[in-house]
Amino acid sequence: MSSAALAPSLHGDEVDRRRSVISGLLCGIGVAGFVDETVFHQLLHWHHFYDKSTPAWGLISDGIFHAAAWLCIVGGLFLFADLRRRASFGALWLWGGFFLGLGGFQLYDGTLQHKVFRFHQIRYHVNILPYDLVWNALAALALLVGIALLLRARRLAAATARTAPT
Amino acid sequence: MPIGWLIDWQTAPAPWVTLLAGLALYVVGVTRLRRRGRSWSRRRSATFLAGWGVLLIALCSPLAAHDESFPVHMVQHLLIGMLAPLLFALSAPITLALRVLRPVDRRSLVRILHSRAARALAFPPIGALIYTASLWTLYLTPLFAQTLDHPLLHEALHVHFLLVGCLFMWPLVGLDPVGSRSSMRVRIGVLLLALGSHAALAKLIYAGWMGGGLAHTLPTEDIHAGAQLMYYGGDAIDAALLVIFFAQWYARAGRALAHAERRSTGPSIPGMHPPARRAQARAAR
Repeated sequence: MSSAALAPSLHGDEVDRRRSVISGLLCGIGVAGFVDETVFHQLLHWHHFYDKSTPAWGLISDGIFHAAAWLCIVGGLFLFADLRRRASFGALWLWGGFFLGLGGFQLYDGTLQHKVFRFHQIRYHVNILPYDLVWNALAALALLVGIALLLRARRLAAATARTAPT
Repeated sequence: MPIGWLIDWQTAPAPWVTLLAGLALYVVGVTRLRRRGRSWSRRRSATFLAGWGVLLIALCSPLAAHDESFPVHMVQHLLIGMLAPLLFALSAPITLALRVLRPVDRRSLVRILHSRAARALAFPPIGALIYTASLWTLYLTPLFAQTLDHPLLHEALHVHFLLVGCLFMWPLVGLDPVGSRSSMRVRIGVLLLALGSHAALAKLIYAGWMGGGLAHTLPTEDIHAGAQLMYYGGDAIDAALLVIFFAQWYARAGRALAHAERRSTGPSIPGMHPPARRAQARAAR
């Protein structure tokens, strides 16, 4: 991001697709991490600060993912502000990236962290199956929305390029 | 709240003397600069005073009288090792020294800053590694238990917190011209690993990994309270650090953008919004 990020784009009328998607992706991952922390840890108390079955390396991975979510949300928002300043952000690209990040992070949490590594579960002392199904179905839905938006953005961009005067 | 909490300020001279000396140096620096008719940003002075106040609370207030308790110790760690260094890094004391020192002293300071050791320490991964490794060593080996038994070691720990906190914060957000600016990629990677290991260490402490048998001798509720303070308090300071870090990037990118716009469109009305300026440039074509 160093020099590329600092290199100013002078083509403000053009949409910076790559950075629009990245900004959305970062915000999506950050929001997923934030919702996990506030809703499931703090409000519902379904998740616990520490689950006795979590191995030490699971706690380390937890910590790194926690920091990543913080970095993503703050970095993603500043990247968004920068795109706005350059008038080069594409809303569809951004929302596509956002849902991709949201769904991707939740699917990672729901499959690898919950089921494969078994760091922790969504809720305790209940039949976990419906929770897992809803969790991962929502994640897959967000991923599909993200992909659909990105495809639509690409179609629209191609159509505009065809009709635009040279 | 017992009244002792309000009046029970520490009377041990060492912290007071050190803190007052630090304050005096900064104030003398700013007044000398002002007397020469040169300005010094009020924001920098304010962040220095804030950082100084944070240290005063951590080391001299009634809080410090109770630092044998683990949660209180954790608050000290957050204040001395994270919040105060963040504020000091934004108060640019080295820049201030460079501006007010006599030329001969300034040259010595520059020589020190350009030395190989100083440049190595100012490389973000090195400072972050020292900061992280020392915290993990402190809590996961019997070292922390030792500091509870030996008062001198305990005081040394406070100094150590401040020093490694500064080593960590300065290269990331400091305003002083130290070391070489490393790329955003490197600094983001450093932030990810350092903030992540801080959160991970808090959870390991909670899970009973503390060294020196403390996991069994300290009251469990104290360990849990301390670990959660470390985790969530760390989060709050991390959030401030990240906002400052990315806001500095945003400002640098803005300056580069304004510079390039000036070059490409020629003279235009300063402060004009870029799209309007572009429209102006198009109209001129």
